[in-house]
Amino acid sequence: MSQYYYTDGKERFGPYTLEDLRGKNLTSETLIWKEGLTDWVPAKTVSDLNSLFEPAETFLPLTSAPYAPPLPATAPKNWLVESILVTILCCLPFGIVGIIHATKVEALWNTGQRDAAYTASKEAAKWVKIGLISWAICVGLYLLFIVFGVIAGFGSM
Amino acid sequence: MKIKTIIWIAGGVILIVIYGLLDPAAGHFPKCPFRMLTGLLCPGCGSQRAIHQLLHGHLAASFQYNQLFLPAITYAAMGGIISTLAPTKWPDVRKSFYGTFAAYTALVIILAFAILRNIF
Repeated sequence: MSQYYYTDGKERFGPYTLEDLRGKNLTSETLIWKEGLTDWVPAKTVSDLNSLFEPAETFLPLTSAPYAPPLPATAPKNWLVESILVTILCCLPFGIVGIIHATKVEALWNTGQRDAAYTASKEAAKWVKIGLISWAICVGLYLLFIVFGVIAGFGSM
Repeated sequence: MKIKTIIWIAGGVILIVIYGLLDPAAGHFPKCPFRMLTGLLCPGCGSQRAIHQLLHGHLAASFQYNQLFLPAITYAAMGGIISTLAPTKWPDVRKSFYGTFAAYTALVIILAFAILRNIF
């Protein structure tokens, strides 16, 4: 939770939490400072304080279905191409796990299981990353062996 | 351009230069860990040698090291081009060729390839 200060031009007040500020009758022009800002700025420019200045009625859903979240039009990324590349290029079967998850993403999405689709997308991405990272580790270990081999070779000369 | 993109491109260029100049068939390259552990060929075995041959324009030799490498890299390149240059264009193409059906097809092909290359 951020701590906010405000000033009336003479004195500094604070620190306050966002909830504290609600009772202070601040205007959108009140100068505000919080950690991360270099100078005092009008409250209207601090985005996390916007709710202080919104007319109360905007909080009350008036008409239509307010509970339907806005839906993105397309399914999340299925990571199929990346999974195939990891399978073919990284020489480790983690990519196959990625492909298995890739098969689920759009199928789940099309049957309305949107959260599950996002989870499958994340899982596929995770296995692609695991494949890449383990490939990098193998290459790193291999290079280490070479470096030590060269040093040992020089030592025995 | 984002820093991340630049790093990926730079990394790709470095790898292309390394795999172009050195031939993995002569050694000097990390061996497949899966192969070392199990003695079996994984679907990616031979890809390093296949990359080297491809970079030298030897398509037939590339195909011999890993039969799935050329088709997979072509398919991936097409997918990359479509989703980078035209992310919202041709949604039907993307859906047909890079969707659920494609994922199952790829899975079957890769698993069949993994099994068959260890038998023959």
